[in-house]
Amino acid sequence: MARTVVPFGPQHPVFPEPIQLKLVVEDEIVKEAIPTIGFVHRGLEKLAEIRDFHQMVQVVERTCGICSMIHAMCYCQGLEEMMGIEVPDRARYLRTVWSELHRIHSHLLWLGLHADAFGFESLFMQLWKIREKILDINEATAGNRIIVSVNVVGGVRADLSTDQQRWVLKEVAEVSRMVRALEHPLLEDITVKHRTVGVGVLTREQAHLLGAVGPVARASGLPLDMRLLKYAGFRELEFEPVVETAGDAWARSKVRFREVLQSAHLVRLAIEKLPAGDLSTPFKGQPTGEIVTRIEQPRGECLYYIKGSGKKNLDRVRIRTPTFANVPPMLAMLPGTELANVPVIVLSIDPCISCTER
Amino acid sequence: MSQESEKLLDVPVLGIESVVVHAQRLKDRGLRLVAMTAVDHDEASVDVFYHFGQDLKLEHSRLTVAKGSAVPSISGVFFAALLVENEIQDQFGLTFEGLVLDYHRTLLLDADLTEIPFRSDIKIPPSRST
Amino acid sequence: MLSMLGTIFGNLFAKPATRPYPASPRNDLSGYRGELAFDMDACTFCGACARACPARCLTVDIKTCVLQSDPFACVYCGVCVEECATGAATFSSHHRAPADLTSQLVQRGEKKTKEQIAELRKRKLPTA
Repeated sequence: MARTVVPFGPQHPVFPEPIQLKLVVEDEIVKEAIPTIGFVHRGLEKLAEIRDFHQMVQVVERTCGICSMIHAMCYCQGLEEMMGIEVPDRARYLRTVWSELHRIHSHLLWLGLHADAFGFESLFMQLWKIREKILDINEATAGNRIIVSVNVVGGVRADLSTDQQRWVLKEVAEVSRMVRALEHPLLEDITVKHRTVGVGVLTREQAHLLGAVGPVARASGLPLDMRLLKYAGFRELEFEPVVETAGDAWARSKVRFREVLQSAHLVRLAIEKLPAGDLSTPFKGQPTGEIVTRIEQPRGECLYYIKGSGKKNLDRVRIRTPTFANVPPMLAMLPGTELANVPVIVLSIDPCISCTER
Repeated sequence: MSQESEKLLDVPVLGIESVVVHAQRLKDRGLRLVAMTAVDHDEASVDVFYHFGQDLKLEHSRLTVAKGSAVPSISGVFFAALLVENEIQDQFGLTFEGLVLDYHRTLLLDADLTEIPFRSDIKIPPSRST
Repeated sequence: MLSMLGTIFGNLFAKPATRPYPASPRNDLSGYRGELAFDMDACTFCGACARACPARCLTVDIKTCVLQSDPFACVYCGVCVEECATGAATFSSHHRAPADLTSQLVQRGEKKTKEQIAELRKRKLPTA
């Protein structure tokens, strides 16, 4: 049977982001996959030359529309380390609260898209209804639904009053309860298992050699989670990464599902232990030197390289996002699978192409 | 003192001929490639950083080359390097020899764009278009 | 099969999950950064907000006492509200309605004397 080339993307109902895959297909089995990206390249790293390092917080937040607060947090952490600024304890814990809320909403978004990818639209809408509660918390406490702009170099800009803390705890407990009720249709249903078990298998060896990060690596048995580096509130909060061993699309959705419940628990712990103190530390001076800083985003490990030379504008801000590291493992999962499984595999790495291209 | 950020001080410098051997040696020790970063060193040269990692620790190496030069690619050793080496080709105008999948400067940029974005002579004009 | 009966009856008698917008709009949440407003009686045209804005959407001219803001370029980050020394820049928590044409907001004020500026700075309430 002759080989055909099927272009998949960049616009496709199942893809949340524009990536094009040229699939070389023989008899419905994919033999090779060649990705093409570059449809949403905005050149954000070049903006560091004309925006000063305070304004870059807002630019860096807009790298990704889902995990935006965590990008800003990573950037601020790098600059604080470079300039020797000590962040107050209360700000560290508040950053943890908002970043774990972001993780919950990102995973709920993905679980909804995962359900939509194999046609389960009512489950998609139920999950996004739960996600609206988290976005309401963001709006009332930090000021915006997703791109919250709550980080500054030296701390945070908004606070949680005691009333707000009680309300957040109540809402997050309700989110946990509603998500647990959806465990059976998401993970144990027989049709869902037919579509995801055994699809897109990545062994532990392959995950390590190809540089997989985040839930993709953790679903293959690698306990790789940057929150173990104990940044922000994780210095005091006890935490174990969620690991599965099957390495297929079902294991990845189970990792993300368990992480939603784990993040809800972490939000509760962080609010219960919230210390009193200032919201940010004032500082003087301009950043000098080179620094590499890492953080755990919902999609995996994100690395920032920042170089300053004593001026108001930084010399270089380089962002290596988790989807950038997860594209080679995705290319290794595709050969040998059926054409109908390609959307499930591509979606299972949680692609965020706007992060990849910046 | 935090663990998640590291200042890059005393990074070992590689020679252009020892890049692939160094990568192979680290792969045999069990490290993975975390990222590569390119940054302007001065008017005429570019620094390429290699960040390797094992568990939660990072090891860095630096390679300094003249602008426009050719660098041996490590994508034969680490398949994960292909995407980032193509990106550095696009943004800094270096050429990586031996790339397993070469986009010839069209990964992120248009095929008819000839300027190199991160050279210091490309400046963004100060006026904002409404 | 029987396990679905609980869900079916629950869904039949539960209230709808959606709101009949615009007949019943949602209440504004108090921390939200909705519309950006500038009070010309308090503005001293110092330009701190324009210098700090990451989206470069503000233009301040002290000679003609004009402040021009672009609500469609604004990213609603709130840095201008923090930088303003007299509290002239504020956010209302009401969501800005969509429009079919972009426009700029041009506001004129009066030049303030040194004593007036000092008085306005003292009266600014600290932002949360």
